[in-house]
Amino acid sequence: MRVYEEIKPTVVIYCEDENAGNACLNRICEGLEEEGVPFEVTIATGDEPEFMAQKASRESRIGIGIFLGKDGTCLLQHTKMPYNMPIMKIHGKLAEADDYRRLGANAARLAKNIPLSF
Amino acid sequence: MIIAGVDIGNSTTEIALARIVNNRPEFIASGIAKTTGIKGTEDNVLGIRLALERAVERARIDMKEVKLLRLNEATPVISDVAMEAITETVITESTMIGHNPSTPGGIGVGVGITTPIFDINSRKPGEKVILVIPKNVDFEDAAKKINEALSRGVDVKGAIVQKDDGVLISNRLIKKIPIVDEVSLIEKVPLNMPACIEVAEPGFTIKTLSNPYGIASVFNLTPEETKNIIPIARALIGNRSAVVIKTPRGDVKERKIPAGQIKLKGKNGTQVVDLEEGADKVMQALEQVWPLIDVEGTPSTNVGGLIARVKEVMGQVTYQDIREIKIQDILAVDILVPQRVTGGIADEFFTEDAVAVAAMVKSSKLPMEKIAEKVERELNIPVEIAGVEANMAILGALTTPGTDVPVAVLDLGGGSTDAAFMNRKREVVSIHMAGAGEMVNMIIAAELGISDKQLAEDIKRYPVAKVESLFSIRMEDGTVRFFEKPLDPETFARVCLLKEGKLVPLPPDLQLEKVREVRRKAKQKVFVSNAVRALSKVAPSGNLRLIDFVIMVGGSALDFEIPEMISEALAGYGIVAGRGEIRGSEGPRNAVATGLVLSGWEGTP
Repeated sequence: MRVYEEIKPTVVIYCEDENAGNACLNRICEGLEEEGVPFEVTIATGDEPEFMAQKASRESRIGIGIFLGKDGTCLLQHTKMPYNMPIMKIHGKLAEADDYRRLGANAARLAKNIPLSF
Repeated sequence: MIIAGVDIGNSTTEIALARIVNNRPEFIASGIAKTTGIKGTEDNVLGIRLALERAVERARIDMKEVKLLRLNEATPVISDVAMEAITETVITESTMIGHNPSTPGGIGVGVGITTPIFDINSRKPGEKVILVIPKNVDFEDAAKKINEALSRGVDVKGAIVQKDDGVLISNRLIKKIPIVDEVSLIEKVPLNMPACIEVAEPGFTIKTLSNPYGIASVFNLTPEETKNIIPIARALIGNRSAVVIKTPRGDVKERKIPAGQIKLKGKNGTQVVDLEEGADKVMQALEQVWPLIDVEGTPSTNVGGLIARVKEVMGQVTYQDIREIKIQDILAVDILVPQRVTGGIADEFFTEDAVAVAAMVKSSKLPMEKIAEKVERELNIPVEIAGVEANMAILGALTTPGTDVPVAVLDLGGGSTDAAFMNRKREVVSIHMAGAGEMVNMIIAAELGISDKQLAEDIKRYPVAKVESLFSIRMEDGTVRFFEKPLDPETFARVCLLKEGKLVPLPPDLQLEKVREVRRKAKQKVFVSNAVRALSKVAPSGNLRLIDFVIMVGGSALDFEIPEMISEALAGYGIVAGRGEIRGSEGPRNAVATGLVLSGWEGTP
């Protein structure tokens, strides 16, 4: 267990796909980077997406987590939100590249306390 | 026997139902419905029926039990509002981009020649360039190209980017350069021209491009040229990032639209005022010539168009020839409106001066007999046309506990602000002033740049709050409210209206303070100034101090801050002013309807 103070304030991203060059993941990271909020990516597989997104948010010191599934399903979650009410959700098949970037940007905006874009 | 008082107003039709016991009315219920059609036309019948049905239902009686309807002699005044800008900014040959992308890249000032990123390989080492990057170029590629050019010795001084990629590009460069992003119409940026780009630190605003001498030193301008770029510098003040491009014939002009003159014809002479001198001058002149006979504007100027438009609408409403429409009162207010700059590249808005005008005409007597006939036919209830609206309003207002004559009543409506004064002998003087709720809506919509009419109405009626976290909001007065359920993420960090317990998000560029200020100022300029104007016209010998009590009635008296604003202003004249409480139960509504019932059964006029 790491000492709490050592954990950097980051948005935690759980990614199911072990492929490092995942296009969707890159888009999410771009969104975060453009807004200037740090993040860390962890490879994680497991339960249903809602649960994983909540787990990611609990791992984050600023309480903001993202889960990206193999099928492209993506959720943005905040620790204080009920697990079945994510801040934003992308359904894999219907999504476009810009949606992932917007999700990343929204994660950062949530951290910075500025309005989200939908 | 049950009788009903019916008041057809500009926006609502109100009913007071009373049972006559021992020759005295006992009120049993009230009803309200939206006025159908324009006040004083036969279309009103539907609204009357609706309001009556509601009242009857509330009283748990049958419609047949209502034996008499007393209709008010509606005041034949109709008002309209209009607005016109009197300055306009035009950019010819786009020389400037001044906007505030939320996340520009880099920091500093850079000067160079605008170059498309595709042409960068043709630039020689040592050349100073500003790159133009359209949206089909990925930020990785853009960064790579810039880095290559930099290592070749090309002096890349800055970049103008179409997408929201400023920080991403900046993070990948070997040298920090200022980058302005989210420039939507990037294809309009003139190429191969000297340009200057500036990005300020977060929390600061640009210094060089907002200073005329700053621009002059960047582009080596002559004193004559420096004079011409003043509008540019002025327009860029307050921005976090900006670009100025020098084109051979480029120009930003602040054009003064010929606003024209307004001619006020009154019983005490005629005054001509230039609209550019501002609304206050117009109102001063109006006081001098009062009472007003008619108003005219210089033809083919903005004010001319404005007055003509008002008269045209009035003509249509009252089925009269436009030449016969005489304006009886106007209220002019100076406002500031954001206008999209003609020829801008990044959706720039400038704040321009404008004047809002409410005008009121007295039409010929409204066809109340016709309405009465139609109501009789359709509802099968005898109808009586009873006294003057102002007298009825006072009679109704006097049912407010704690009031007595002499008293003044302020009727704050949608279209006009009316005042009436009743002295000890129960004689009544009354006046109608142009400008009320609808004008406030128009000012709010214009100053905040809102086109949705319902939203403007909501901004007038509800306080603003800012969502501070997923569970809490901070109201405009600073109090914090906590919610048990998480708020909709769409409202997160946004400025919202607190409408009946629900949060309605406002357009994202509106600041809480700005909304509050615009809303309060609009109410001040219209209602407070009209209250003073109207009361001083009905006060004994025109002296406000001779009025002791003012009762505020009408729809706008329900507002959460207008009555307080007026009370505060009138307190300065030693007047006790408060919101009416008709029959001790109806609030400021239903005054005229109540007065109509009372006037029929108490032997008063």
